[in-house]
Amino acid sequence: MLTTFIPLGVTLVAAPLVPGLINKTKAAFAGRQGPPLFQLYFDLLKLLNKGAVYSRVTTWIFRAGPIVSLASVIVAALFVPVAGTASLSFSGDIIAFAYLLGLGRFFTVLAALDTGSSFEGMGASREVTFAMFAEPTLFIIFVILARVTGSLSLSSMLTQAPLVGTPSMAGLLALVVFSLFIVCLAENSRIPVDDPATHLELTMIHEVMVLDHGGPDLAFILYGASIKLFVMVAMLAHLVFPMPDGSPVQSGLVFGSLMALITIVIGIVESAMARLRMVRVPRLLMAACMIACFGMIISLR
Amino acid sequence: MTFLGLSLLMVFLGGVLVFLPGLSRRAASLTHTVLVLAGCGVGLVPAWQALAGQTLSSVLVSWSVPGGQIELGIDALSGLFLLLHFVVSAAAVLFGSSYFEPYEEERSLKSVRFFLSGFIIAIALVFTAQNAVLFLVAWEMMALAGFFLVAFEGHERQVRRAALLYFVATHLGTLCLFVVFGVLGMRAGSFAFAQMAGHPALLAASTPIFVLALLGFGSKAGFVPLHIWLPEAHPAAPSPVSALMSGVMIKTGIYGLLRVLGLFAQPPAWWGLTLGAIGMCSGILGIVWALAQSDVKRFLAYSSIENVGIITLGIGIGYLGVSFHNPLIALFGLAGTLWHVVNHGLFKSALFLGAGSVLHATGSRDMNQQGGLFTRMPLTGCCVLMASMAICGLPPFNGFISEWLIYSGAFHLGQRQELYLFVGAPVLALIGALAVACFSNAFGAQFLGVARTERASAAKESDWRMLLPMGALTGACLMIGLVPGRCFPALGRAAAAAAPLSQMDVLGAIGDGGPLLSNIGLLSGAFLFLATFLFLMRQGILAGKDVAQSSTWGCGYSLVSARAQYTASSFAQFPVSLFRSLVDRRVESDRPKGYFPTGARFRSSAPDLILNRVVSPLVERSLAWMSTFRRLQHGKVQLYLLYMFVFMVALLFWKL
Repeated sequence: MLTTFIPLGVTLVAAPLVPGLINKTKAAFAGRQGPPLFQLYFDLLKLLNKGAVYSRVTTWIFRAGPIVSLASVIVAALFVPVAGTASLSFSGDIIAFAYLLGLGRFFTVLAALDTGSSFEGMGASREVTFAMFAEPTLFIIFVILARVTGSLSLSSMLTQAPLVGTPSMAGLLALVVFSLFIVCLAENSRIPVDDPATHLELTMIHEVMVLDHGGPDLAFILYGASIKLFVMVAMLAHLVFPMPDGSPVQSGLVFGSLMALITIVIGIVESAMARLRMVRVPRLLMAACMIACFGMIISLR
Repeated sequence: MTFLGLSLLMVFLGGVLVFLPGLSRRAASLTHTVLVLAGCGVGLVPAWQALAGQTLSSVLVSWSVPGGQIELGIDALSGLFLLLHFVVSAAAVLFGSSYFEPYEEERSLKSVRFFLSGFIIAIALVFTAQNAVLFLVAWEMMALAGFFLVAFEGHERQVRRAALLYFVATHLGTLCLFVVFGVLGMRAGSFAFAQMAGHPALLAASTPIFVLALLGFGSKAGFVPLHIWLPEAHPAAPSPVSALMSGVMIKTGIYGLLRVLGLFAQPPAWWGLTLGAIGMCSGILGIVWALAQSDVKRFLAYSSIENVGIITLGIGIGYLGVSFHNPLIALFGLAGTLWHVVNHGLFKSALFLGAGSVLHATGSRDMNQQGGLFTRMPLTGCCVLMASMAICGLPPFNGFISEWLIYSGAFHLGQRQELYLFVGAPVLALIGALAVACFSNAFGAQFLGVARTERASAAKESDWRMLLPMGALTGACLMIGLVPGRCFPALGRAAAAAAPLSQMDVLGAIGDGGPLLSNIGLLSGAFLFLATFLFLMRQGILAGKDVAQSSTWGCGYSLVSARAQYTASSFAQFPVSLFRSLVDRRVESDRPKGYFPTGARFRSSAPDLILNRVVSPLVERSLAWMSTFRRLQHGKVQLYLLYMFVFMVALLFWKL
């Protein structure tokens, strides 16, 4: 019974490492030493020990936002395999996965609007707009995987996809991974869609929506964001390389190194690229969607 | 069936007794409300029995109308629609007893109560008629009662125009239905649905019947581009009536479509494809147009078009499943459709009632004029929030369950060889993301932030007669979301009644689907548990720590005006700009000029693209063309008599 929750446990414990590794990579590119790998753990601990300041305008929705978004992302993480196995899976859980992320987004947006700040309204508007492109792309990828594997559950789609090994599938793999990578960057507010490091409110999307949160609420938000990032990187890791059937130690090692590799790639992208202009972002996401559609055509065989 | 008769009788008495002389206003309101509520309560019994799998004997009374017979029967499909109808009617009437009160000062409400009862009875008859002639009579009664209800505030020009548009649209639809049922009756030799079902003579006429049924029922359901009356009539009608129209009346179109198409044993694949395509168009266009609106009831009307699109996409998937002999796809599509019908009826009527509460409290339907209502109307706000989450298909509410079923059908279709079948799921995802944008915007603009006007800051919470119906409807949404596995067998029965699924292994497919749905219920439970845990954890952390109040962060500036907030229009501007070729967005603005600007103005609106760019020009063109014939109609009676004489002589010559 308890062993089924090991994948979720790994996700919950290891998730804050991903942003840490990205920041380390960026620091290395910039020639700095950068914050320690475990910085987010320290930040979370510090924030959890703080009090909170709430705007007089806000209602309980503002306080519920971080709770709901963290709870929904944790439940969504149940379906995502870690080193080849997921905590929970059933036919059609992909829809639940996407809609749980949608639930988190809905409450983050409402919490932002609850402050009555025009900055946060702006961020909220951008967030829902970019989701309009990211979600269909994600579903096209799901349909492709459903065709290739004949399954409708996230873990068997990702672990049984016979994309690696057969040369005819290599093209499909490249297209799927590329568009899922862009979706991952957009969903997690990374460069080139959004810049998690900037402090100029007008250029931000996700960061500006959580501008008024502090203390434990901010800790929930940061933790939830790191879990979401971990989960999407884990999806990519399983697509890129199937986990060996052997011992858990072996597949754990493969999974860990793949996770680190993809995270470093995200860090490299962030170091090498500038954030796109806001009006260009929809074009990038449309391109990802089209690439997924090409993948759809290839999957016909 | 005795229960149904008793129920309709009580609703009828409720509508008629208000005309008793000497009845005080209070007594009239009370009589109407109590009788209609009791009638709806009694009506739930047969609906529930039919859904639970009992076969109810039908009523058969002979009727002097040629071909007509008063034949009423309830199968599982009727039962499902009837259940929804009586629940929503009860909620709308209880809400109305408070909502109409302010009007009572200036006018009599007898007629509106009468037509409300008539409307409820007519819809119940539409859902139970087993004879085409009776069906058409009930359909017409429903259209007429609906017209008088929409025209409630007919002294306003806008309302008169909307009511007239509704009237014309519904009658154009009915015209098609006359042909549909005429052809069906002639070919089958009887107007009873039972005699028509599976009649071999129908096959030759299946294509025209399908097309005309799409037009006739589609104009009632609101398929794009036949939806033009919806965004005009819904804002014009009083809120409880809009709730009933959007929650139930537009579903009569879906019901009729399922009934008529269900007469054919083997639907061709192109039917499913056409329905799916229509559904996707309606879904995407409806929700994109909704995003551009700032009148909350107009916005909800467009969102109804979107949901009818989802429902139609589900029918398409179900029919494709039937054509491909795949019971699982058929069941996912049709059960998802029917479930979405019920779910949409529940949350959309709750949203319309919520819009009515806000209108009642602030006197405005413009979302840009509201703001911060959540602190003043917390209970209404909670109901609207829950209904908004449900309509976006977010767990743990009922909308997720029905969309999950339709999605599953779409995924199973996507696994087939044909390439074009993959589009269902991505399109649903696009609609879902747009719905999240729409409803977070609508809820945020009205209920969150700071009040933008005096009226909004003086709003008061509604009384219990308004809150109870909304609470009951949203409570039902949550309940269905938490225990979906239990409702599934009833829906499977309704789906089997809706399509020629009987020869297939429906029970097996239900057996496959039920446990999956229980998983989802479990998931919703897990989410609620985790959220509660995190809430308690946060309380624990914050206990004994500094929790301060301050103003919203404004980059150091703390005296921000309420008017500087993001409005509904500004929120929607970016996403709508990406769909500018699909939306007729009009902007009037005076920009601030000079170093010391004195005034500036900005106003945006999005009139209906089809109505303004297609229908109105067409109507004007044809009117101009037809006006050439006006010379024949000049009001000179002696010349009219001459026309008749010439015509009769011509007839005589032709026959002799």
